[in-house]
Amino acid sequence: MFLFLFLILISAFYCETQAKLFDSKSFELQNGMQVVVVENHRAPVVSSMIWYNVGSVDETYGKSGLAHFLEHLMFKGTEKFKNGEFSDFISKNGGTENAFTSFDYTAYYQIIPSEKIENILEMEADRMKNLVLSKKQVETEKSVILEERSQRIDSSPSSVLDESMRKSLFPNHTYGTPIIGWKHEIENLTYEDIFEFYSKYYDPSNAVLVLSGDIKIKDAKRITKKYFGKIKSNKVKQKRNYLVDPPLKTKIQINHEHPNVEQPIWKKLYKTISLTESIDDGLALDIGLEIIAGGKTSILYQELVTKQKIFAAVGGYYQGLTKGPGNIYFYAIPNKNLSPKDIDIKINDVLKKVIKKGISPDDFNRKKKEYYYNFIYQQDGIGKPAQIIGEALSVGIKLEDLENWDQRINELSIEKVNEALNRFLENKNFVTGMLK
Amino acid sequence: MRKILFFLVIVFFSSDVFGFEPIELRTKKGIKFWYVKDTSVPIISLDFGFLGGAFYDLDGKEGTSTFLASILDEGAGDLNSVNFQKMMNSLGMKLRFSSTKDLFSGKFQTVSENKEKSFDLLKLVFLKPRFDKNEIEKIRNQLIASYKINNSNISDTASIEFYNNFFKGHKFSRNDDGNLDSLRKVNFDELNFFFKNFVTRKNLILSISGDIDQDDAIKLIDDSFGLLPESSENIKEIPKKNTFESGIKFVEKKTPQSAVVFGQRGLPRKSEDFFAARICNYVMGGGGFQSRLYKNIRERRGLTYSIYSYFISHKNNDILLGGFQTKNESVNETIKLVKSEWKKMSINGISQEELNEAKTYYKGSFTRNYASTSTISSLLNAVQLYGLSIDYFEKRNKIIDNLTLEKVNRVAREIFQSENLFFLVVGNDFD
Repeated sequence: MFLFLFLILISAFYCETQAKLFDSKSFELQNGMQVVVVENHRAPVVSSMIWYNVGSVDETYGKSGLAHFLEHLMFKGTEKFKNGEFSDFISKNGGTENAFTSFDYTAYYQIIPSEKIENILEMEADRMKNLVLSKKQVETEKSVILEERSQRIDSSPSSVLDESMRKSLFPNHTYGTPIIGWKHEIENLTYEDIFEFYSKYYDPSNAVLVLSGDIKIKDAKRITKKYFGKIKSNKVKQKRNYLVDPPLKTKIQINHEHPNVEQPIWKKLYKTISLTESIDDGLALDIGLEIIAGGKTSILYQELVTKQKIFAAVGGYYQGLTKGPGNIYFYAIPNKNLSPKDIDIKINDVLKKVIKKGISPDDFNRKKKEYYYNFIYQQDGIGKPAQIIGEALSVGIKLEDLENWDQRINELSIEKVNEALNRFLENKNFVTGMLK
Repeated sequence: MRKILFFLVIVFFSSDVFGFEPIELRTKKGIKFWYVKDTSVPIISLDFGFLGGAFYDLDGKEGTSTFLASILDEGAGDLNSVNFQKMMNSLGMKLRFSSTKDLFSGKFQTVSENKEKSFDLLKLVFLKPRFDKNEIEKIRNQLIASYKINNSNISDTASIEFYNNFFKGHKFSRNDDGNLDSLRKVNFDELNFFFKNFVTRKNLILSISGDIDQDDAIKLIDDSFGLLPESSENIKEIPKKNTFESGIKFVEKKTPQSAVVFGQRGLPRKSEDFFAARICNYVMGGGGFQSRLYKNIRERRGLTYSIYSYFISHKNNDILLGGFQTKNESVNETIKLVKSEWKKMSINGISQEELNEAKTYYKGSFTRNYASTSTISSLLNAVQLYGLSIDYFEKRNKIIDNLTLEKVNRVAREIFQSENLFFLVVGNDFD
């Protein structure tokens, strides 16, 4: 038994790195699949997340919703593990599972008592290539997805507005297409579409497995080699070319009026750089916007909610964990009847004044400290490390860079943050929206 | 041979690490709390609950307890709202209060290197809360906006209207968040009255977990909670409602899909039958993707994206609650299917295989709560709140093992009564 273990340890693995934010360890199987392990033995449970480097961004025009549709169908079973067997196994062992699809990735996760992790990984590996579906299952699941779309988007006036704003900001890039898909296109997706997409993108070379919790690196190596290592890869292209949008040359203001809406909400959506393009520029923008617009201590909130009492709430934040362009979101909930234009002016006046003046060293240092404490909170539990690592790797951030995130923030200068904010002020790629 | 022994010892010890042994401690001032030490991350999590909640909001002043929960972290002592928030952030401290129908509770977390300063800040909240006029107006605007936003959401509306009808004549029928009229009337006096009467040591439930040793926990809890008044006056017992609404009620709203909330009477968490009932509900609409409602209504028929049921404990008025959303034209069909599942459950109960699988689910799933200081302190407080004893953690597996199919199916017959179900539908174009 010992000899057996020893043999496994020296074979087949290479490129092991070790770093520090989560103290993760990473290795790659011969077929190109990356595995990341965050050991945490405080409770006998493991969180397993497999992240496929494919999302709605990879759908061709006319086939919107395909990535998400496939995500649903991945629960329907294989030749070896029939429909429901995987989920039933998880349930009867006290586990929990789910999956989600984003623009850039599709992820499946289970949280399971550690003694059952091998079974879970066997089944997860099996469904990477061996999905079995009937046409009837595809059609029934289509009804479920249409209900989901209705629940998430069409029954929610605020989401209808978001959908429209995104399409206007990304007229050409597939980031403008809703992840769940347009209703009329979902209705026309076929069994063949599903399998074409599945065989193209579901591949070990296009996946990252993150295991966080009560599992040792040597067991992770043994188990993943046994089940995932034998899958033959068709070498999926990691970097893909997506359509690029022209710069916006007109001002776009979208209004959505609905009889159910009682509280007007104003929104503004910008297109901007991503953390993938530049970690330092992205972080500078992130921390700068946090100081100006993030939460109750922000300058914007203090000025417009506390002092001027114009809004019940106001804020903004950066989302840069994206393969393509990143986004900046702003929102305001007015206390009184205000036009979208007036709201925009009020917010812009404050932003201009603050950014021109530059942020204060006090605010900057306090925010850095806050980030440092947030890192500690992210280590409390097994879910967050798997989530953060998986998301970052899926969009193209290197594990080493992620593990040194706090160092990156430490080294960030106030000048760099002010520069990022000044660039933001010049950003004309935005769409505003009003819900009322 | 020695090697094998060595191996066994390691295996033995590594499983022992997972022993979960909360202990009950008492401070010098007599405050009882449950405690689990966990030094794997430098974080301390504290959960606390006071008897209180929306039930005790005065008539016409509904939403007071929610208001209080929203304003309590908006400054204390000499620190105004922004300075208080900045101080919390720079300490890595988190504090939030919330209010439900029958409980006013809070969660406090901090990094262990700043524990003294953070507990000092918590103490300041209890000793010198500030209900500044400006802050009251700010929170009022936020609560009114939030009320209006919830009111335009069909699933929130369904839930609010469900309680409004199901608990008719009982104070649990009221919206915990108040209404436009009452929110405009809550002022300093109401907030102060509520704070003085309910944020007290009487009925205080407290649990702490994380990177803090026993002596420090005892001292810091005494320093912060020990100065709260001993008892409050005139807290009435929450009455038990004897008869509940049943049938279907429709509320009209323009929407392509209807939101449905349904429910019936449940049973108290302390009841001997609770776990048996819980197992029946796991099979009916709980857990993950294995439930009957999920399989028959979503997976087989594609009628909904999500459907669930769960027991919810409201003091003296426990209920079994469920929900789903479906296109307007499928509402009646889905309601019929839910009722038929209910009927099947009361007639046939569950099978031996379903019982076995539910048992292993409940035994296996519990340890998920042990994975963070935050979930540990929440779990400890929930168990205390339900009036269970500290040996529950030890006894739990035995309670589950001892459940027989006869007992579970006797409880299924008693609890699941389709004629008692009440459905509240928010939607339009009903046939």
